Amino acid sequence: MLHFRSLLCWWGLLNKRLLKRPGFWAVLLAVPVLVLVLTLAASRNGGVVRIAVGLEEPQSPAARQVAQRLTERESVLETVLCESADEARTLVETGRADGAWLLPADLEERFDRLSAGEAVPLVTMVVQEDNVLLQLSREKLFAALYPDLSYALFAGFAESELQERSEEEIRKYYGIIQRNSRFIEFAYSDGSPVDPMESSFLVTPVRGILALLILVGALVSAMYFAQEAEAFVWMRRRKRFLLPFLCHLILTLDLAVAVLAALGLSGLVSSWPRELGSMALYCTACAGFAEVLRNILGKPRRLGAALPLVLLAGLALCPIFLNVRRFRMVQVLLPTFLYLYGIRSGEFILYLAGYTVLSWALGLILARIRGTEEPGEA
Amino acid sequence: MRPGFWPYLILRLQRVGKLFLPLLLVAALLMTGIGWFGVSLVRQDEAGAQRVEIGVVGDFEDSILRMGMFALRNLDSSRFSIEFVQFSEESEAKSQLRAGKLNGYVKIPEHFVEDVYRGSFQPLTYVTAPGAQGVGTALTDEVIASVSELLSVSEDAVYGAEQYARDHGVMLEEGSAGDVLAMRFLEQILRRDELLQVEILGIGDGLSLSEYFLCSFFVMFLLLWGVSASPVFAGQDMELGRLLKCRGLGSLRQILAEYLSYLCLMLSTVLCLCLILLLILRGLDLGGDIPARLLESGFLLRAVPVGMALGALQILLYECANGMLQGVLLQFLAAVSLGYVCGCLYPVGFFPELLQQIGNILPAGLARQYLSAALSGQSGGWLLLGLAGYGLVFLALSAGIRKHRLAE
Repeated sequence: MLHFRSLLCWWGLLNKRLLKRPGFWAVLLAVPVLVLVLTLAASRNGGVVRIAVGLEEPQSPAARQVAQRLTERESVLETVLCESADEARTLVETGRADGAWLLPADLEERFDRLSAGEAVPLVTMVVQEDNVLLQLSREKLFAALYPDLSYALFAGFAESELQERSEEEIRKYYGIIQRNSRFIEFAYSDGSPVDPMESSFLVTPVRGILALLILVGALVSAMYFAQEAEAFVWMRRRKRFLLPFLCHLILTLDLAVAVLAALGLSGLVSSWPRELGSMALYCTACAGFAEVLRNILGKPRRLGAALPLVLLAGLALCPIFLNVRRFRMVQVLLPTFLYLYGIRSGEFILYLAGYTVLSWALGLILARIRGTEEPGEA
Repeated sequence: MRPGFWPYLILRLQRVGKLFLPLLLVAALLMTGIGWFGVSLVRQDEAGAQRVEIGVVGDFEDSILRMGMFALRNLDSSRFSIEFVQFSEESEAKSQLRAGKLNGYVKIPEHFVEDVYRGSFQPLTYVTAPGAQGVGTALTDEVIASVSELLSVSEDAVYGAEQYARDHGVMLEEGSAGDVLAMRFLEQILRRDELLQVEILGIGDGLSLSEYFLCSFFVMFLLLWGVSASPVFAGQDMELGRLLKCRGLGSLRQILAEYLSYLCLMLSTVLCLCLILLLILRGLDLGGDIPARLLESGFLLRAVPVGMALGALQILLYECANGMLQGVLLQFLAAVSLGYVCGCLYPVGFFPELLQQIGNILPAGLARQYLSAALSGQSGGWLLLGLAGYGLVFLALSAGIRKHRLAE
């Protein structure tokens, strides 16, 4: 076992090997720049579905009110208010919008006819092709129509069932209770409330991309170590078995500093102690993962070939751009998956800790079996 | 013999030639991975399994909750896009959420129905998985928020009707005023799809989502190819470059020879693989009319200038990084950030207008648009010019950096 002081000395020497390279500094500094660009992407309006809202009669008060409700709220649906229904339809026809919601001139009258029991459509929806995203987006439209619809239903009910004719009285009782309470609250499975910044679909990839960068860093370190292993052949075997882990850990921790700085700057850190703890654990897990892979594949060229495959698996299977709910057995093999879930869940942090212990143990066992703890043989 | 451009190019070609088969294998695995992922998503979609799955945890001994669940699963228009799964224990729903089988679940508090009747109740809780969330989850959360709003408005109106009936001593034959109004609201909510008249235009001039992603994944694949090519640059230092310079081969010609050999490796690997894949798809009659369209539209021919521009970018990045370790990290950062901003990972329409404009003029954005133009039957002449311009600038910059490094 290496002595603590000599461990620190080795830490310094191995780190110097990296930090003396201007290219490495360039990578570290590129991280905040990347985050700045991605955060900029999320700071302005954008949406998963672009909907053009067209008013058949721009002066219709009911239609204007619905359009206002649709456009003023922050949403993952991007709504564009058009001057006319034709303009909205043209945006769909030319592919500049995924769908158009056309609000008729007689919308108010249609609410009344509907409350009287007549089957009448309120809105015309024009789409190029119907898909799940557009189907789900209709709920947003219905929520915008609903306040007027519910009033029309209430008024119709008051007139027909309660025999109340006075509009003033009807309005008074309709608005008598305004709880403005949320019927549904949002929470994560560990009970913590959902942070709106964290759940922005344009911001969330930032953490995932940066986490993947650390994993790539660990793999590159494994390639680098396999290539330069001869440099450490003079070391005594007993002092050498942790050296590759230390190399990977140093590189990942250097990257982690840049990543944490970038996350801090972009306002994605909710709790620093948790962030620091999970990042340290993640870096250790990545070092273990890289060492297991190095011992399985052996040669730097094979590691280089495995790198894009791991990268692709990380991009596709970890919750970075997509939240794939299949292939769990493959997903849990990637430390990035456990880390991204662990940020919000203590349970997943425990899994990550277990993963770290297992990967380090497996790395050491494989090294012994293959004899690759002898750097000269790598 | 005085080494010139051609002998150095042949030397480089011999070096990269050794990597052709391993890289072809890696590229094949990469493409199989992408294909497997895409096909499984498409099959999921075909089987209707793409519906969002939401759990509902509550005491279903209660007849009203049971009825509500029945209505949601069988009568409500959301049944085509959302599948509601019933749980009596929260632990069951939580373990399903952890296993990735649910998008989230709604927890109904105990005595919820009685509390609603009393007018004071704990809100429902929508529990979602921790960690980074995808687009689907973001949209589901928004739908749940819309439903919450809808229920709140209904609830206030129902309490208003109850208050009116109390103040005026009204009693209806069918039950209390609140109950009757609640049933009307419920009826309207369940029939909300009838409020929309849907007009489907069919695909216009734009690409379908699958065609868009075909172009963007191809560009992403080429961008990530820079990471795969790390063995080409492994162990490379400036000693050979200095020797060549002494023998009269300048930095520009060195870079050109390295670029051409790199490009040969990149294009031969990628195009070879694409052709094999297209022939397999056509042979097995998979992918609909897309393989035929790719061959007829000249998509593969257009991949050449795209590969040339992105290859030049990758050479520049490796030249800037000066070493494999930094090189791979820089390639990864560049590939993912360019791919993200240029709409190769999310559709470009997801981004704000300004960012869309920036993304569209970056090399990966031009490349994606140039390939898309092939599928939509447009010439894309100025896009080609843009790609050529980028390629030349990247090569000139690489040569400049090499010159500086050789002089050190």
